[in-house]
Amino acid sequence: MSDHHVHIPPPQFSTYATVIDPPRQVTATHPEEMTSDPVPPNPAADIEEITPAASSTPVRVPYPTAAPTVPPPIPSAPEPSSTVPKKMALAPSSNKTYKQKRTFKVIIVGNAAVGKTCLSFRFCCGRFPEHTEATIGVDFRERSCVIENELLRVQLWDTAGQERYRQSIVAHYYRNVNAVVFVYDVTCRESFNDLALWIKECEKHGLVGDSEVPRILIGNKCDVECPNRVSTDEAQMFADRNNMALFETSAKAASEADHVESIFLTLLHKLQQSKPMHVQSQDERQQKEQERLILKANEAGNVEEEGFCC
Amino acid sequence: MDEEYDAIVLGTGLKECIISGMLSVSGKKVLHIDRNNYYGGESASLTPLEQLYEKFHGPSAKPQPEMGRGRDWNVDLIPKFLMANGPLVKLLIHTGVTRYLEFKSIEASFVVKGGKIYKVPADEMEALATSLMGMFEKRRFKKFLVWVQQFDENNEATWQGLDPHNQTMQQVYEKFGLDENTADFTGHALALYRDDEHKNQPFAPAVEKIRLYSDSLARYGKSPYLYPLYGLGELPQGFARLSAIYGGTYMLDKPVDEIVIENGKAIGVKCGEEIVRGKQIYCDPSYAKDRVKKTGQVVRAICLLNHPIPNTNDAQSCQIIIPQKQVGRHYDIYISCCSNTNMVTPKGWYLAMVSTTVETANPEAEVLPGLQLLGPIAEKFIQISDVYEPTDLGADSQIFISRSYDATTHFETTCKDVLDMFQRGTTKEFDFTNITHLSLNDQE
Repeated sequence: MSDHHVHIPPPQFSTYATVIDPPRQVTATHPEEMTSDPVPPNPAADIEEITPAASSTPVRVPYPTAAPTVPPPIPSAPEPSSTVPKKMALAPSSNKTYKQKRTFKVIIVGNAAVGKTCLSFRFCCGRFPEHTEATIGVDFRERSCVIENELLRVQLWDTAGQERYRQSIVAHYYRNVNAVVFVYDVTCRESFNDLALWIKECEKHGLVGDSEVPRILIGNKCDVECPNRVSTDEAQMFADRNNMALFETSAKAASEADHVESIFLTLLHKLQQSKPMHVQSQDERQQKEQERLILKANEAGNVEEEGFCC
Repeated sequence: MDEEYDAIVLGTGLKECIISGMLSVSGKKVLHIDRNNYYGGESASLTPLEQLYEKFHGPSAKPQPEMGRGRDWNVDLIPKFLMANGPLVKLLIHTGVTRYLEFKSIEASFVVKGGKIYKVPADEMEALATSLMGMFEKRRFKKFLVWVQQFDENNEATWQGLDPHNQTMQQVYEKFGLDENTADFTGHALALYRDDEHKNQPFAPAVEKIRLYSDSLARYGKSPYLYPLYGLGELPQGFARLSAIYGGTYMLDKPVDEIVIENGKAIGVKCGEEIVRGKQIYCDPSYAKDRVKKTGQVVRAICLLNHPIPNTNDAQSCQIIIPQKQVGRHYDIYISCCSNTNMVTPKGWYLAMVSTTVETANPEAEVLPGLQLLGPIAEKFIQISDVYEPTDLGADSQIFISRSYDATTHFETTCKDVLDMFQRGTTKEFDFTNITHLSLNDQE
């Protein structure tokens, strides 16, 4: 009898934060910050500085050699790097308590096949996915990072293929979003032209350009040779007009791995400095939960005991 | 699009989206189409407010400026609440769709007796204080509730001399000495029956329903009902995402001309010039009009208010039931009210819905007893929908059609229909207890 029953697992999310690494002192991943004061004492005041700068002169993180990527490990905390094949920067340490925990929801939008999933995979798992067919059963990918002794969890939400035919992405995808990543394929003009539609779609759901929700633009697949690729200048102009920072990169090319990493760490830094009221901190969530109900899986324990079969 | 799908689902109403999710996660290749450019079909929450005006009054109709930002409105077309311990909540938890949704308890539940609104007692204190019934009646009622809690159909020791197979609910009321008012209140405001048929039926299902009410009430306190922030339209979208992340393909704004039949069996659907092939079709009645029959009508009045419903202690959200006998009808009248606290209106505005099953040739007049309880109404939209059920159960045609949404204000019948469709389509029973859980503590 039981083998006739259909087994429905809940959707999964992949988390990559297992590598133990002593938290380092973070300087900056953002070029603008490199030139300004290294560690801002007051994040709230600092955001005034960062945001307009990023919008008026969009930042392009240079290619790997000059990239102000993750700072090297502090020499006083040497790590037997040979034993750890791939280390995620800023990974949290298991034996440390952090002053604050915040979770950020970041959505990735753009046409089908521009490499949204690959980018999120690269960032959260540190490599290019081996299987390129449509992802099944992954709701969002998550990565934990520590910046200034604060544990940040970044959830990268994927469109789940609902972008393929017209605009059929569900409304809740756009809710409680802390940052938006727009992606186009530099070898596909259409994906660039459609960015305007994606911006409109986001605005329809209240994610407007002048709000505090940071938006970045990524031109993907820059390693692919193509005669009529979208020129950087053109993309730059578009990014300027829409108040976004532009990055060109490739989620696939191994040489670009650090670059993808630095783009997202730039974003992370922006998020970290964003005002806490826009993000659910632990306290806020508890407070909110008292009045709103988040049905949790652990409550399903009781449900199962009761048994339910139709 | 020259590939063949295991199932093509037409319409993105709640039932179709749950089915789509169930099929996708069980490994079926699903194509899900809706002719509208929004999710939810009949069970959508219309937003912005302009969309509601356009649907009912045409493209030139516009809301009043004092109604605030159109985007702050999410207007359900079909009012329903979730029972906190009901099957839909279990389905949401088991599929992980709760990750996309937040809920709030509905603040209070009321029942009308003798033209007055009474609060349905939510705890013992309120039960002692209520003026719904007299002192002695309260004691008898308490004894009845204790019996309901421990009743087990499979354990004769708990029956206390009542036989669930041969005795009716009426006989149960008589045994506990409950008067007609209390029976009325119990059957309609607790067991949520829409008419009095249940009194003459074996009593076990009614007892189950009363227990569902009290178990749901025990879960979150104020009332047994839950409601998702941003409206019920969130539910189909949650299941649509579930389906999509398991590989389901979504196409909105795609007109469907017909279901293509070969030798009595569906082989796909025709959209304009192209034919998409699929082994099975799941749809709502509007996509297969020749395979359904009309069984009745439901009338729903959507009312925009700039004040809470009078005599509800300014409840920001509530349900009011007018039992049929109170207004000389066969079916109850239901009122549901939500507001800014549920993210369905701008601040200061309320959304009340009065609905019932149509009994006369003048449906608009039938909701009048409900409208009279609402106080001044800023805007009113009347909707009369036909209720359909499939005449073809799909065994040969492989077309599986859902029933229309009925006038009940909860999802018990909805879930039953979905599970029934799933079983007809896959010849497998859907068993929740078989589902293993991953840790979903992503909210921590």
